[in-house]
Amino acid sequence: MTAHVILRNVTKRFGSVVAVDNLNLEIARGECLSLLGPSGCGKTTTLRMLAGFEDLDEGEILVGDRVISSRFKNYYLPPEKRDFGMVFQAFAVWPHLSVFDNVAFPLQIRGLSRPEIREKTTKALTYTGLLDVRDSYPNELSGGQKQRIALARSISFNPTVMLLDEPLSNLDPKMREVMRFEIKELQKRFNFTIIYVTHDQAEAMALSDRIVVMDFGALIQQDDTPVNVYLRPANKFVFSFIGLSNFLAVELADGRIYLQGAREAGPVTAAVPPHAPGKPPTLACRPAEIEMVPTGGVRGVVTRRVLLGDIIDYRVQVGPTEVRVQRNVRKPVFSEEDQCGLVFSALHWYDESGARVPTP
Amino acid sequence: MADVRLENLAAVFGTHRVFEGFTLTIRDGECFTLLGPSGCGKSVVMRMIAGFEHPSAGEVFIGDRLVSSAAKKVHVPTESRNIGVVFQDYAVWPHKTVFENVVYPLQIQKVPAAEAKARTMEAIAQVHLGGLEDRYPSQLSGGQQQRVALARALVSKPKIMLLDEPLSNLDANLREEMRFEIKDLQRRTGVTILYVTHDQEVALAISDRIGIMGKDGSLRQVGDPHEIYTNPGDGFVFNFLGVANFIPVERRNGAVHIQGSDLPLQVEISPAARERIARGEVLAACRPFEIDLVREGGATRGLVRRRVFLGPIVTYFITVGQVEIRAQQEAAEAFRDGRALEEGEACGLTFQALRWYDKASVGKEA
Amino acid sequence: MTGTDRKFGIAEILLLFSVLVLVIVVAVPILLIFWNAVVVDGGLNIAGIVKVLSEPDVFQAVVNSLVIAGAVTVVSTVLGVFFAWLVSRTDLPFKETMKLLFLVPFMLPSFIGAIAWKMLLSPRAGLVNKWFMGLFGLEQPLFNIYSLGGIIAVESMYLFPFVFIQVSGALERMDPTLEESARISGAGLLTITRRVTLPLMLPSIAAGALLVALYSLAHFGVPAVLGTEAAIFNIPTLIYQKIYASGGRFEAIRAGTILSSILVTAAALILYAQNLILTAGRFQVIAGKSVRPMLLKLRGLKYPLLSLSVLYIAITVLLPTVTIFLVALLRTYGLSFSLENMTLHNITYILFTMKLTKDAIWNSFYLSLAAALVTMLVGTLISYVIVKMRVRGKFLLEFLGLLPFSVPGTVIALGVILMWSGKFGVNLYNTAWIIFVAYIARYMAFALKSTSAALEQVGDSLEEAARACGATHWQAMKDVVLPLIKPGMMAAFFLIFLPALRELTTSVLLYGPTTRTIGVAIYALNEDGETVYAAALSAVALFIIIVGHWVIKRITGTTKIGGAS
Repeated sequence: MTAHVILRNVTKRFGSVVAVDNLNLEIARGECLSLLGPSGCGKTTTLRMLAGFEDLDEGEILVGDRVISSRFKNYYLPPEKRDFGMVFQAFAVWPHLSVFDNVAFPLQIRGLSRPEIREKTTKALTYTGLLDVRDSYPNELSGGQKQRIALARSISFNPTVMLLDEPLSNLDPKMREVMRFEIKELQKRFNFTIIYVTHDQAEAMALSDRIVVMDFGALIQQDDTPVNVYLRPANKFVFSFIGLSNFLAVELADGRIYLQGAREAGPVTAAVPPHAPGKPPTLACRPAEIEMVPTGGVRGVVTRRVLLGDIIDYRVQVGPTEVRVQRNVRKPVFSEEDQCGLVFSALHWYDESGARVPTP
Repeated sequence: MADVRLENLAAVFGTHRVFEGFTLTIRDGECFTLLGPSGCGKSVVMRMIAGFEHPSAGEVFIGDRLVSSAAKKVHVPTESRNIGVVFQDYAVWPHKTVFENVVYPLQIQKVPAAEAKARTMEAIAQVHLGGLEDRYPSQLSGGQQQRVALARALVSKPKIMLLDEPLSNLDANLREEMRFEIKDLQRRTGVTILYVTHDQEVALAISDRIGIMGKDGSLRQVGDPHEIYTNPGDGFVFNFLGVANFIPVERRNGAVHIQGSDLPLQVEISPAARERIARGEVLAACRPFEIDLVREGGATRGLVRRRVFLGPIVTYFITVGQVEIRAQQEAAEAFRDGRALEEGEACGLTFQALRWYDKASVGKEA
Repeated sequence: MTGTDRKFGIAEILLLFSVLVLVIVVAVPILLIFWNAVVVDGGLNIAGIVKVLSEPDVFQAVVNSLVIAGAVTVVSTVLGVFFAWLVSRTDLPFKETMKLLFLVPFMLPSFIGAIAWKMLLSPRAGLVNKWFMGLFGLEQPLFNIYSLGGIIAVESMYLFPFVFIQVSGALERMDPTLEESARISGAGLLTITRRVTLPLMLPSIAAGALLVALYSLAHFGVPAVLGTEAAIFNIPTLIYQKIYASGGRFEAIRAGTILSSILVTAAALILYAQNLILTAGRFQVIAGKSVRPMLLKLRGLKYPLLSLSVLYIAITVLLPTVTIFLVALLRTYGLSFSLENMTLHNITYILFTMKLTKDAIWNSFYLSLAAALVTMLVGTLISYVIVKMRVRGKFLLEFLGLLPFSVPGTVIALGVILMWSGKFGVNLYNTAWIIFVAYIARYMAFALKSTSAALEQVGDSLEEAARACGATHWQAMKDVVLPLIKPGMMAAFFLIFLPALRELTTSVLLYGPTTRTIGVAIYALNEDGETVYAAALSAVALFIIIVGHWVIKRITGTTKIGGAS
């Protein structure tokens, strides 16, 4: 791919803490990439280095052919010269300026003529659905509209790169869904590259072409499409970060895998993954991918049942292990204290270091 | 333990009419949730039971005792009603330790010190805060503070417990945990609980029965969670409890079509429903998971306009005729079996179940 | 939100009591002023008002007041904004120390500062002038402090912290992403400051500036010390001069009330303007998360600006304070500052022997303590009715309670004279009681603000939770509300006690032969030429104030601000 944004050996330290540890990343033009990870993992610091609010300690960042930050060449381009669009979590729209003036601001700074400013601002306002409220002030508008102002302001000067820092976390769930879609639409229309920071995996999955899952130090755990990250998590960290999980200890007996301490419940599978003798890997599986049957399967008892709307959430006790299962409400319902059988279809295996063990 | 009876309760403040004619019985020992959107008046109902508000009309009974009546000029003050209350902002007193917070009701009742201490420590243990009794609220997390509030509400063994959105200030994981603890506590102590919230997930998860209030303050439906979820009485309730498709239909050549679609809907439609369709009064409604998606065939044809992958499920926005319908597939199976659809692809939809609701009952927002 | 159908009960009684207190203590004196100004012998006399206003000395005093207030506001605003920006938005070293030092002028009574500056810059005997003239062999002093310029300079030194606090607080609490988003939009630092930071700061700057204007208009001490010599009067000093020169004659009181009415009207206008600006500009600029704001790197300017700040503090804070203490130790005024000329005698004399000062110290202490206690208690009660009780008519309390904010000490003193000098059958004139009543009127607004803020922090649900636990209304108050507002009440107490202890403006019009306060005593000693004793008492007063602030900081854990006297 022709990389549009390149981070090469980027490192950032705060005192003795290494916030970003030798990060290497390439992002294609027009791609929507999410940096996903727990609070404090370094994703926001990475974004701020891209924006120029922080300078890197080592490495370099390039956009197109242009170096924007480099320790090698001792070069640092300040944020106001980088020509990026940026949207912040708390919207950061200026309360003392009208919607129109907010959006027109970057154009005014760039010294465009009045008619040109008016034209581009109107265009940006139209695309974000804000034309009707262009003379209103931000405090008269809702959170979703304020975020649209921030988006309009960022796209008004047609940047090639858009940086989004948890832009939807201050919105209510319905608004978040709407705005996700609008951001995607804007990207399709303007073809800018998006680098999106979030700790919400559902958001990352819904929006991105590619997800980069990070752990502390901005260490990349997996870099892949949302579908692949969900279906084939590279390690235990990614598995547990994306979606609900069961991590089950197992034991091996006569060539079959059983849940630990529950041999009498029946085997989980005969497809035994490779492992060192005496150290079977951990079984990971998603609650939504376990089938519950009245007879057969791995036998257990329903200890808890909670209706969550279109999903029923079960806790099933198999020997000493508690397994979480989620089933659509359409399927047959089990009551608490019912016997049931579990059928495991999608098995993931991780060794003690958390690395993925190939499924046999 | 007691039941709570509300008869023809009204809350009218000047020109502001919150609700009128509100009648409900909360059974002894049950966990009842009053569920509704913000501003529907559910908190006012709770506050009237607590005694913080006076009803403008109607009566409130706790057990057999009349505690509030506008007409008979009766108002038993809050402190004499023997209730426990847990507030949205916890209302734990910052200048008292955990122990001092929880023992307070017993001190007021002049329970002898030794007994008070024993009961307090028991309550603290019941909410899993043992060992923290000498801490101050500022040293505790949100979830722990909420548990202090729970212990304090329970320690005097009240007849009823009133909980006003107690979990909304907690993060998602903690909410799940606390939901379970509340339910557990209730089972163990047998206290009658009135839980007030706008979060349908909590309501469905913990209640023995749910009462759904509309924005106009009316009680739309009362029943157990599974019942209400699978048989919502009207469009409002259907929409409030989960993601809903409301599908306008039209009659063409004696058959029922989705508006703008050429294929007739292949579902069982009762004669009564057919009449109402003919009169243009109703919309079809179903949940996204009640639609089966296929590439070829299917009862109706549509076009995938948008696909959103969210993890366990893939959501599709499908255009059928003039209508956009939301459907979903279980992600893992769909991708592995190659059944997942792409944006722009044509597909077939088969409706497992369709409900019919009055257009009027489907409000603009829940 | 809801109405109750409670019948006439405790709440209504408390409301009535509160209204009565505020009416008697606050409203009536002010009304009497206006009444007295406008009505003569039972009839409206507007012509008389015009006549009084056109007398040259009266007219000049009004003009002076406006000129001084205007100039002081401008200078204080410039100083306040500059230093606030320096401390909050640059990488100036020793910021925390600087912040504390800039706030010191707040603690010190400005009239004591004026006395110190008099010692330094009076045209012939001023130490700095003498040194300057000696050094260059000139006849003309470097600067004559007995001038409009002198008054403006000294007032600005002591009032700029009003602006400083508002602006530095706002700058620090401002959401940094507001400026970051401007930066990423392409704006450089200057543009950001001009188009984003300053406009968003405007409400805070205005709030501080208007407060400065208010205080300057109402201020007695500095113009009294520095202006009277040169026959420069502002409204409060002219009122004082007329009443004392005439021995309380009717025309003087009338002129006093007319001038007071002007003062009150001007003050009310200022507060109204401030309210408008604050509500118009109530932007939500406060950051949710605590993030470090963008700091400007000063580079080469760092140490020059640091030196400038230190120099400023040295000149405006250290110099006068040190002067006071040194002069307090001199045997006789005019001697040079050598060790053999120093003695502790002045201090021991004023503390233990001199009747005037001993009485003054005693009076100030017990009057301030009593006033602070009573005002705090009554204020708490009234605040409770305003904040927590649902009873009709409490807007009346809110209005009455805020009145004294806009009423200068001189006016309150005059009003109290009119009310309590026999008119309603009670004559408190020349007794300590009249000062006591005046203090309550003067400081009620502070108590109300502080205690109502504390009460608002105590959420309704905390009381309701107690009720749900079985506590009656009174038990809930005792067990929950009272402990939680104790810090607010203590703050109110100190907010009144310390300013009352050192004030001059109000008691100077009300004192009698045995009821001098510390402020009055210092002023009197200064007027009588007993400079070393004035300095000694000032030094003692400063000492008490500093210790008092330290005690407050220990007890409440926050820095208390005194405000001008």
